[in-house]
Amino acid sequence: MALDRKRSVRDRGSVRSRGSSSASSSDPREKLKDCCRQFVAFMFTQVGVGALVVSYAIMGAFAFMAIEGESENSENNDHVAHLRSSCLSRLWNVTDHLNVLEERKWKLDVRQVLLDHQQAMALAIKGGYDGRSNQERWTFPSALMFSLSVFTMIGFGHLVPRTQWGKIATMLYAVFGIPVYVLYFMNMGQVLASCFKWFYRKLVRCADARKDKPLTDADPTATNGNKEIIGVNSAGAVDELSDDMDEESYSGLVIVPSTACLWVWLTYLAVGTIMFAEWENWEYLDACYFCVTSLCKIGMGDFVPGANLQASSNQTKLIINFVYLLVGMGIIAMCYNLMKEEILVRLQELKADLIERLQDVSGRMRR
Amino acid sequence: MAETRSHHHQQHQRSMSVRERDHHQVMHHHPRDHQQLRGGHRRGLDRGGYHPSGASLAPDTDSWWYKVKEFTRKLIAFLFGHVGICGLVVGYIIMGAFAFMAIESEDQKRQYADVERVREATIQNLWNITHELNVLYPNEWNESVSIEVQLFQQKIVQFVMEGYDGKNYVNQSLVASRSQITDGSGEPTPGDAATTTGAWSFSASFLYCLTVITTIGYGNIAPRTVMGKMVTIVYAMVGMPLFLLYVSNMGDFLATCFRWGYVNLCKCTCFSRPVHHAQRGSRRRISQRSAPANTVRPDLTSVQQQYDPVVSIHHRRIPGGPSDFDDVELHPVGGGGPYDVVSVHHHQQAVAAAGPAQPDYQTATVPITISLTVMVSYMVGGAVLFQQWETDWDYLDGSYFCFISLSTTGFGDLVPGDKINSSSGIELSLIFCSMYLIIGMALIAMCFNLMQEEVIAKVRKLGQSLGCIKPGEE
Repeated sequence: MALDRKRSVRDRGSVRSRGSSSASSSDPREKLKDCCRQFVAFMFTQVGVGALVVSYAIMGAFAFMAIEGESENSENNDHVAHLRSSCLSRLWNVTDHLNVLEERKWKLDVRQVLLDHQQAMALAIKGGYDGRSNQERWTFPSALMFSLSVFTMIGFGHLVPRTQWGKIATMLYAVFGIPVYVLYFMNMGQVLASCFKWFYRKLVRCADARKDKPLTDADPTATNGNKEIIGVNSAGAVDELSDDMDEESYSGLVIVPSTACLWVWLTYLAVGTIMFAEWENWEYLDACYFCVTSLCKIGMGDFVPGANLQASSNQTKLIINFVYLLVGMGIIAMCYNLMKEEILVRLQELKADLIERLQDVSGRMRR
Repeated sequence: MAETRSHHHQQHQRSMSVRERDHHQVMHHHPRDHQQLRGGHRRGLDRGGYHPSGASLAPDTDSWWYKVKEFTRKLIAFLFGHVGICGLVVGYIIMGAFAFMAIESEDQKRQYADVERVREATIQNLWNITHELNVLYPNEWNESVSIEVQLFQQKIVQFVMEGYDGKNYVNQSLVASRSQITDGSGEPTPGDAATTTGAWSFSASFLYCLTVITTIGYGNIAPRTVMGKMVTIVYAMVGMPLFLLYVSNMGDFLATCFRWGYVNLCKCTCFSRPVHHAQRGSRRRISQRSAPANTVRPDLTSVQQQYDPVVSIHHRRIPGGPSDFDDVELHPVGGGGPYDVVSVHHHQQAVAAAGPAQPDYQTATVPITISLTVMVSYMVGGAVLFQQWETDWDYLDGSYFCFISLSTTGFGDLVPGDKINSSSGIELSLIFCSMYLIIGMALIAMCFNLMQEEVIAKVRKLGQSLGCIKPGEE
């Protein structure tokens, strides 16, 4: 349907352009046509990639639920039951063998028994025991979170595959998923970067337009962040006129300063912190720690929203976490995209500077 | 003094050409100029090989001493760049390890004390149960005791979830009292050996810091204190760009080394000899006859077309690194002397005429299969090594660990050295794991660097054929 609309617009546009003699009336229409076409193609690509990522995650969630959820974790539960019964029998032995119940000796032995039990339990828990069966653990939201953590390379680790097939499946899933994710990352980065640039330009122009009105009494001290680029000084009138004249050529040169990117990221971080702190009843520091470690793809796994509690009530929350993380990755990609050139240029300068200094030093040493 | 100077002067006059002698005589009478001349001998090069008086070495580019000096200068610059970054990264990690050790050990002692308190309480309860029953009926006793043990177990689960690692903080007085009362079962328990430092030992903190800045993030140990979490955030923000810098630098360097080694290796193997042989021959021909580039071009292109699928020659500029090796290499072929400069220029021209755009040092593109082989073999090697070190890992666990770590996912369920019974091997295996990861990241960056062009070209072709990407976009 969108294609039909596009074609009809194009046809109408072409007819109109054939009929009309003035270029100005077809120009906006041409622009609109172009805009529409570009928008559709671009949306198709971006939406396609986004849909691919989401569907890959969902598919992975179902696969892992099938592989890991169905498997009987009975051996671990059995093991723990066995541990407990052996502990009990040892305690009984200790108690039984002493003809006279002397407190200190008895306590010493019992302490040893409990110590062993405690360490064995800790080992078992690290091996995956947490009182729940596999099916309770691998619900759909948890599996979705797991798949997300695999291909975004965050790797929380609160839920991990324990079976052999699960591990092999994880590796294969990662091998195919990481390129998909990288594609998404680069795409989202470009999209968001261009959106942000456009938005920024609009903001700058708005600020310009507002300053155009009181031209004669241009305020030389009016500097907000936007004005860094335009460089309004006390002779403001001349600069602004020249800016308006070659606005088109100039707008291509608007470079978003790195501080703007940083502000966007910090705002997103703050939003996430507040959201998670409220929902999960975490401390603000803990929520901030979670947001930073997840968005930076570190993924400790000690805090995972909604993972500890049981199933259905947290489904919407987990979906929102999923979306938050994906969009957060996109914002990081955008910041990277926008700051990349600046960083590269600075790095080159640094390197050249360093090498020049070294050459100086070595030249001086040679003489 | 005057005799020696005149002696030198005579020697120089014999060795110099007429033009240069005139030059020299003009400059000779000012003793101050000698230093100028020596210092500015490079400027003298432009005037056509001027020899400063008294200097025994010729300052032209051909003398091997000059070459060695150039080489060492570039080596120092390169070392300063690359090794400096390595040292910076390792130093940053070590600093972070010390910081986290200091921050987290207090809290950890508190945690151990909590666990011990719970255990003592359980023991007291058990004693009370046992003491109250005058006659020991097993069933009754078992029931009450099992309830108590169940409670204890749940508390342990909770502790482990919160980050308790199962180790026992050895209470010195307890050990003394135990040694006094022996009843034959006096074998050393594994719990005793574990440590006053606990989970946040130096090597464990080292691994933790490494996982933070590489974004692996195992999570098998994680900071529990407020200070620890804040420091982690700041440490990550600063450390990640640093590590990215290290990885990209090392990746570039290793990639150029690999390419250079690959090109040299190709020259030795038989199936690509004709290509390089022809080029060598052409080089020799050029250097001896100074033939124009045109006569050489058809040979090169025909041979090159024949060998494109196997070894595709691209012409790119290699900053630093093996370009110097190439430099040093070309000279012996030409045989030294003034032909070298000419031969290099002609070679470059020929090569430029034969191949696409940029006229510079040639390099071969390493095929994708080789880079993939390197990556896979590194992972398999790591898997074998870890399987040997860790007692209860099989080959699948080892390769799973290597893959998950090197892809920076890092679940943390399998970490080498994450055992409760600490033996002397733990520290070593953690350090080894860290080294493996640091080197592995650089190797993977190298492989990506090598595969980059081909992969992008192939993906673009795929995208165009699928119609997703418009030609000219991306």
